[in-house]
Amino acid sequence: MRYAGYPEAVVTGVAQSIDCQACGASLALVDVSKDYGGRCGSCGAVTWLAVFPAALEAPKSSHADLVADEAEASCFYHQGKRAHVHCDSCGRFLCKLCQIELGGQNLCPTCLETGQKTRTLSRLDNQRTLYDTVALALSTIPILAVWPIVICAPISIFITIWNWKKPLSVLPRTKVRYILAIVFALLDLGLITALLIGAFRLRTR
Amino acid sequence: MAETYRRLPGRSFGLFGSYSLWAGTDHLLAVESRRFIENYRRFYYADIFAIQISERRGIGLPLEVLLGLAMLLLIVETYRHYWLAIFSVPAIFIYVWDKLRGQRCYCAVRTATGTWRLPAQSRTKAARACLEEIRPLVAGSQNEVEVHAALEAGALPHFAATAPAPVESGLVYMWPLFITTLLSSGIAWYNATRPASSMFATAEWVVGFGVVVLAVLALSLHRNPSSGGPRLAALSIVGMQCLRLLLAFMTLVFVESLAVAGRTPDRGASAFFEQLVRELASAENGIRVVTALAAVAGILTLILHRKKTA
Repeated sequence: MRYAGYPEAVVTGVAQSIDCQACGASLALVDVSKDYGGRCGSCGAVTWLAVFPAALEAPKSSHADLVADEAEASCFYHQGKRAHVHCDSCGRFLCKLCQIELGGQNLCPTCLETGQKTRTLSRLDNQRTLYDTVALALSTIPILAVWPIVICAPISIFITIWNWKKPLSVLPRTKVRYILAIVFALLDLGLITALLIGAFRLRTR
Repeated sequence: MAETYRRLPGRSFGLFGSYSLWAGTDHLLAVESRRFIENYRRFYYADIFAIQISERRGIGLPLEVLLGLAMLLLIVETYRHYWLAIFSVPAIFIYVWDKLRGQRCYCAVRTATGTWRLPAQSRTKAARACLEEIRPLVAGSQNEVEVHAALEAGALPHFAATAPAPVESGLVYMWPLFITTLLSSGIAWYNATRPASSMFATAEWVVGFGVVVLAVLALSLHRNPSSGGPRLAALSIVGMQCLRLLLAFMTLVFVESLAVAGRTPDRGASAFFEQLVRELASAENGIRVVTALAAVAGILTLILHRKKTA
């Protein structure tokens, strides 16, 4: 029995809070080994739920309202508030409200914004264009129609050279596509040159 | 220093790209790869409240049987019309591959700000394996609290207050879709058996267009997996309509070619085109029957669904 061990209507602490991802109906879950599990009464789908301690902790209280004494260092952005850390990028003092933790570093809002604009903080990248794939596609796909490679092969070489030093994907990735793009683009250009020479020779005969 | 990521089990493919999940040092990275562009979403381990895996309901026994019969029919037909292998081989391959990959599922991460789907985890087995890999990473970055004991003692998790987002069901479009499909099949059958009438031919195409519009509406809004059967039926209908359009186009092209071939002394080409047109016409009748069957199966599953929810 696939559903054995997943009774339908046993109410526990998490019962009324979970909705079935499959149909949106409320689920009653019971303790099953490390997780909670249950079968949706509406659609019959089994759900597993792994609850982590963060779900039970009270929201973190902010100490941002601590007022700085005259002898204490104050936040660069909030003069009346006590400095808690300094920005690892620009060194400005920051209160807890202004402190932004990112990858083990403490940053101020300005440095964070600058990092996002200049794309130096890879952790803030939500999107990347894969220029190596673009270059490879431009040097290979147009071969099917032959003549477009006159335009696409030089563009592929240009994209490869222009973006060679730019960061690739956030994920592990080598530059093999760039190398292949260059090789194919050169072969394309060789093919076109050979075709043109052949056509020219046929005409001159 | 660049972040290093480790690929987690589970990967899924959509129409325009693929989805994968990676484990970083302090966060989970959900990647949506759209050929030339990659989109990222990060879930910091410390912020993860819960990970939820929900099985996706299957298509139901009636449609499983119907699908199996359709596959069998396709295999038998392929022996008679060898060119059907273009459709039957990929269809059988996809069907078997889908079965081998196991139970489908939805996977979601719950944080303080809401629930986020992880499209990379589309199979229960891979999602469970992924959960087991994530569990120590998440637990290691959060405080040591005995979750089960606390929940048993009556503690409520913070995501309890977040109500599930209302889901608009596309089921309302399913009824008109299946009924219109049956109507379309009826007109098509009438056209095939009676002398050609331009009015009925136009009606067939107009109703056929309506079927496609309704199917698109139903499939785009449909998210209720308790009715996965109608969804498959709607998908089959769209597929069949597309196939009919393709066949109509091919017939048109080959009839033109036949006319041209008739004017030339090349009798071999003429015979070949004649044979091909006959083959296409016989296939179209089969497609009409399958479309009507899909509509009937869809209506049956809708009735079953209504009975179940009542």
